[in-house]
Amino acid sequence: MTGAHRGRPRPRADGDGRPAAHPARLTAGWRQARRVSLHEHLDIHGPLPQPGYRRPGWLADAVAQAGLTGRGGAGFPTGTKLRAVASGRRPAVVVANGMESEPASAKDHALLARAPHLVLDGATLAAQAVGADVIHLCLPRTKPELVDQVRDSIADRQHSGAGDTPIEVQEVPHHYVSSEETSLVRWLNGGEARPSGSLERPFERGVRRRPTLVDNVETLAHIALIARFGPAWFRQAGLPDSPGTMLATVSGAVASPGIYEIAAGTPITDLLACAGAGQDVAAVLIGGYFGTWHELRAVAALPLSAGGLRPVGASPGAGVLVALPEGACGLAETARVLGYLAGQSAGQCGPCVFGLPAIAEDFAQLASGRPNGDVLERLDRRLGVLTGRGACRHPDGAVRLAASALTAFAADARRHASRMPCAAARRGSANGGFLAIPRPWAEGEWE
Amino acid sequence: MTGGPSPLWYATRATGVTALLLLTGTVVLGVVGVARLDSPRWPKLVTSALHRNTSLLAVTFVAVHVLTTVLDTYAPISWISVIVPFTSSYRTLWLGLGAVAFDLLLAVAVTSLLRVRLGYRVWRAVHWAGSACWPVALWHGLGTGTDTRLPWLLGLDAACVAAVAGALGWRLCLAGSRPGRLTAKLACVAVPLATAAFVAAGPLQPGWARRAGTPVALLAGSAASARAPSPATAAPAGGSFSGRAARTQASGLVTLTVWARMTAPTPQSLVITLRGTADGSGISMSSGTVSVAAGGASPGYQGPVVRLDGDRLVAELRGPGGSVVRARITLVIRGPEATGRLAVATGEGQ
Amino acid sequence: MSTGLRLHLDFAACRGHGLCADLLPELVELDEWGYPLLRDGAVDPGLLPHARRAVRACPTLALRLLKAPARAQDAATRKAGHR
Repeated sequence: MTGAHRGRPRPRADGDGRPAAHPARLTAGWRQARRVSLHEHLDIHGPLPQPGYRRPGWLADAVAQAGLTGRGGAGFPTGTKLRAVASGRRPAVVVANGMESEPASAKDHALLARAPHLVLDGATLAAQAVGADVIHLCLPRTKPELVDQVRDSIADRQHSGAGDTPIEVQEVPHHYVSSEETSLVRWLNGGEARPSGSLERPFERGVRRRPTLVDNVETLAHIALIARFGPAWFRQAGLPDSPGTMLATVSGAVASPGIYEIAAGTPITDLLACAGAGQDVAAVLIGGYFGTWHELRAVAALPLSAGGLRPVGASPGAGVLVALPEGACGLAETARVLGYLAGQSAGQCGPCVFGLPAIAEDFAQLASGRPNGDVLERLDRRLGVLTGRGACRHPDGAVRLAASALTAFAADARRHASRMPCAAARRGSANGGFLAIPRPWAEGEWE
Repeated sequence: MTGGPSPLWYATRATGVTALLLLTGTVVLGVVGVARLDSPRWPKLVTSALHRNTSLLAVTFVAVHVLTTVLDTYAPISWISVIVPFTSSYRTLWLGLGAVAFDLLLAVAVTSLLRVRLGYRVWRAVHWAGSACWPVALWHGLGTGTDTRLPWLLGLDAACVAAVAGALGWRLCLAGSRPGRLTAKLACVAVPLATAAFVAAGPLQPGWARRAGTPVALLAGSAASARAPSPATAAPAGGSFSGRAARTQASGLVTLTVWARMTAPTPQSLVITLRGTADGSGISMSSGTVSVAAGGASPGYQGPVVRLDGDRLVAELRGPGGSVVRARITLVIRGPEATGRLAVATGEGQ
Repeated sequence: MSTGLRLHLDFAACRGHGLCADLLPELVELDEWGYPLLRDGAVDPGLLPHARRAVRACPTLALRLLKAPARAQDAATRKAGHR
């Protein structure tokens, strides 16, 4: 309501009739501060489908037909991934990625806290589909209460005999890059939770050199429902090229920040209305801290889907939408985020280790209106050489964010560069910002 | 076994020194490369290529050094003791260090050739461990080297140590301070000092060859005295002698025995035994032996009489070392007393 | 006739020694922090011996020659690599 909202957005109760909110699928049965128990879960969604008479590839086919894409940010077709892992010669491994190191996203935490059985169902079904004999559910080490809750839920299932693939809860170091799939694989193999630059992808050779399926927990939750109700049901929501529903985290200058389950492809303006955005929203950050800034008027009518956003160079990413009001300074917000991202480098690759702090410093100068030399020229040059030169896409994401800020806030950028910063920047970060920067955590702890 | 050092032995020593110089150069170039010394006229590429070429040259000289060592028969060093350390009877410890250095060099060379297949981490580990080759080779040289005492070689050794210690110390100073670095910097100073102290107390002191484990048969101070045998194996010296004679007779055979002593030029004892049949006042000899021993030490030189001519006899004496000398003795017997002269010629002849 | 090979750099292994840029300036430039910028596309047959030499000279074995094409493959694996 007033000023900035810091920290994690509170999860929202399910549908109260606003136009953009879709009838609840994942969020069915969600109530404030309460977990959906196993019993309630079975009541709402029905029993876990058994393979029974169906042939082994049935789930991968169903998921492929449903057109489900990864909900962790990359948007890779899930059915293709399932088939690729299943075709490996050795027994596979399933890794459920609940790390959610994107600070502006809270949906995975909410899903695991409120409806863990959807995730666990999905993981179990995926394990059967790829022939895996173990599931690693990766959670951040910084959330012990969530870990305990999930462990309780797993225990409940064991006592009721739903699925027998063992699920191991793993508490992984919680750095920004630790949620990347090669980081998880490396950590599970006994190493550090840093990305590996190996040319082999986890679906070929991952944990213990076995084909490994790494999926976001929301993706697995969707698999649990597709297995029950079929691909046609899944496609009843969303768009033909972006079917189904998705969880979006809306924050910033909105009256009701939180997690919303929407049909994929919902127009951005509808989602903002759902969250109670006022008339003063001038710009939005789409996708996450590795996403892109846009003036609202350029994207308001666009659907929140991969295909719909591609023309403006955006992507739904992890379903993050941050609303920036008129009086705020997008450059200052970006500068703070770039500083955070630079500090979150895994430190393995020269361009990232040196380049990210360099552009963060440049942006800080730009934001404060006290640049050294021609900062815009410097940024232009540096942003051109940091993409695709690392073991992971961390620098790529930072570059994307910075470049989009310079485009969306171009007029501001020119003024700031001419030593005429806007009012918000001059006020400084007295009232915090719209983009939350997590507190520093155990910098040396990667194992 | 005897006969003194051959050209192979000199080649071993020369190639050893050269190999040490080349290894020193290799190590210094390696350290400089790691320290990323770079200038427009001397790019890192040059350091890297020089390091590689110098190491190849060093390997070549080490190979020749090993070859000449094994082929040379002066000292008993076999192929096995080149590869398996501490199995040689010649200066076991110090030669063993050479085998260690050789093994390390071999490991580095092989892993460098197969670098791409082995991967960076394995190659790097072996390369780092293998750099121990240099100090081990240096100590091997100091302990085994016949030439260690020579001033110019001592100077060369000191220069090599200074070059490597200096390069390492400089590199450590460039890198800033960390707990491990301080220990390393201290080592750069302490280890050369310790080596110098060892050299002063060891190779530079007399008697080092024996203490280092040179087999007794080869012990010598220099090439000249290697040819001069020790008293126990020295050929008898010629001179006058005097002593007693006794004559016994048994079943037609007469035995004349002479025990005599010489005082000049060295104390020697002489025993002459002649057997035969009486011939007037003389003997028609059928066999005889002569033995000469220095200072009473037995067995000395012994051998048969090959000619008896009036009061002259000639005997061929063989010593404990296997050398043969010809002794010409003039013998005068008056009653129980015997006097005469002994003349000795080495080798065959006459 | 194309060699069908392209340069690939393992950035986690690269320590910025820069020998590759010295040996292959036609295809490798160094950025302001001393790390290689590789030119896209297949290596010309005339430059192949120099490329091989650069690969051998790399102190950390970070530079490799791989079979092209890669751009499409890289793009796909890039997407799959996200959290």
